[in-house]
Amino acid sequence: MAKIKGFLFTIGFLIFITALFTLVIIVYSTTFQDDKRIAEIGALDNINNLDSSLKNSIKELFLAYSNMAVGTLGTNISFNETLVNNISDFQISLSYLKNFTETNYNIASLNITDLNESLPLIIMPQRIEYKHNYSNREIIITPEELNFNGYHFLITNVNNATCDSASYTNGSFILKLDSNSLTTAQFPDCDFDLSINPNVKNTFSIGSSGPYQNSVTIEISNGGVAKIRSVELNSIPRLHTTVLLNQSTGSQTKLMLPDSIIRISDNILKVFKKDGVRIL
Amino acid sequence: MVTNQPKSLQSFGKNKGFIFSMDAVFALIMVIMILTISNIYLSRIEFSSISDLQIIKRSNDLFKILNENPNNGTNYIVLANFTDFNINTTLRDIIVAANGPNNIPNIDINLKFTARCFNYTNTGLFNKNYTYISPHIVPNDRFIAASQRIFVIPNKINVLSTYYCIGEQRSWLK
Repeated sequence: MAKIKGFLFTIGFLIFITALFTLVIIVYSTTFQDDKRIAEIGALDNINNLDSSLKNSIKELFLAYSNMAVGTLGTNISFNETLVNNISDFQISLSYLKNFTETNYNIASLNITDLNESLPLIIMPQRIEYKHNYSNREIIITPEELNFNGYHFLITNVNNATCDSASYTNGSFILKLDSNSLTTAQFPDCDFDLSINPNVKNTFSIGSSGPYQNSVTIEISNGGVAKIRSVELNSIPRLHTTVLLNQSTGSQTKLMLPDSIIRISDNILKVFKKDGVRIL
Repeated sequence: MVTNQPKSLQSFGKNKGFIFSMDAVFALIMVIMILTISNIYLSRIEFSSISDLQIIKRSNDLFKILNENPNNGTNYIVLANFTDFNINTTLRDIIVAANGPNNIPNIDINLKFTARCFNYTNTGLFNKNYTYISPHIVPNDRFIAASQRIFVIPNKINVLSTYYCIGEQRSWLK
């Protein structure tokens, strides 16, 4: 009996010591896990910092060098630039930023091909794309669907700003078109205030005669796709475009550079991030 | 009374009460030790986790705000112009904006900022440094949060004079 008691006591003590050791191991590993979690949170914050600071930097470069002014007019979005704009400084600064970023952070890369080629801007959430075709001296506005009210184009600094021709079909899509040979909006030489059908081809041209005939052409078709083209080489027209949005979505409207400009890929944390840049 | 039990057991029988009492005392001591150690451990974990995370989060938020809205709207960090006062004022403004004026926690973080800036000119890569250092010495015996941000200093006259910078911050509890 005494032997059994001693044996049971030894076994019990062994079990107790084992449980104690297990507890120590669990406590130790929990401490380690806790430190690891904090390190991970810090690393994720650093990725977030890199992402948001790159967005901020690209926005700064856009505002400084794109030679474009963008803004809101009530619930509408406006763009103001020469036709067609010179963005060489923006391209240079972006390429340096790309070089600087990728040299210093091997987890980050900038995809600036689209920005260099056509500088697309996207009105969200309507998904209306405003982009450039620099070789054709053309600006193209492409809505994903017809979920806005119309356009207001003001073209200034045109050598001959009188209306030349207009071919359109009546509808409910608003088109305001003013042009002026001066640099102001007052007393336009050409003044259209129409409601057209955006699903058929509507064309307008400015510059009535001589070397300046059809110096600026505007085409609206295919569900509101607008193409504004300048063929005048003797002056640099300025195009002020206002996209007339629905009042209901106005407060949520933002203007973005396209998705996937910034790419961050961290293989250790298994994090992949792809982001655009908000301008407005 | 005659007994056939060995002497050791007879001795055990005599000291049974004492031995069980000793067992109980040892068991009690062990339980108290385990509970004390667990308590200390849990409170330490709770304290260090929260304070470390607070440093990380607060300093990152502050760094972001200073980077994106520095010095009343100028377009870049002028780190040399920072002082403890305006950093703390900025942080206080952020907290007030987030929590309301009646719930301002103590601002208990020290900061050190540095920035390395480069530009690409025709003659090579130049650099200049901006530094703000809190008047406190960076400690080597406690948790220090660190992060970096990229920022640019555009020069509208000459694009080649644009500075591309990496700002770094270190922060720790006072």
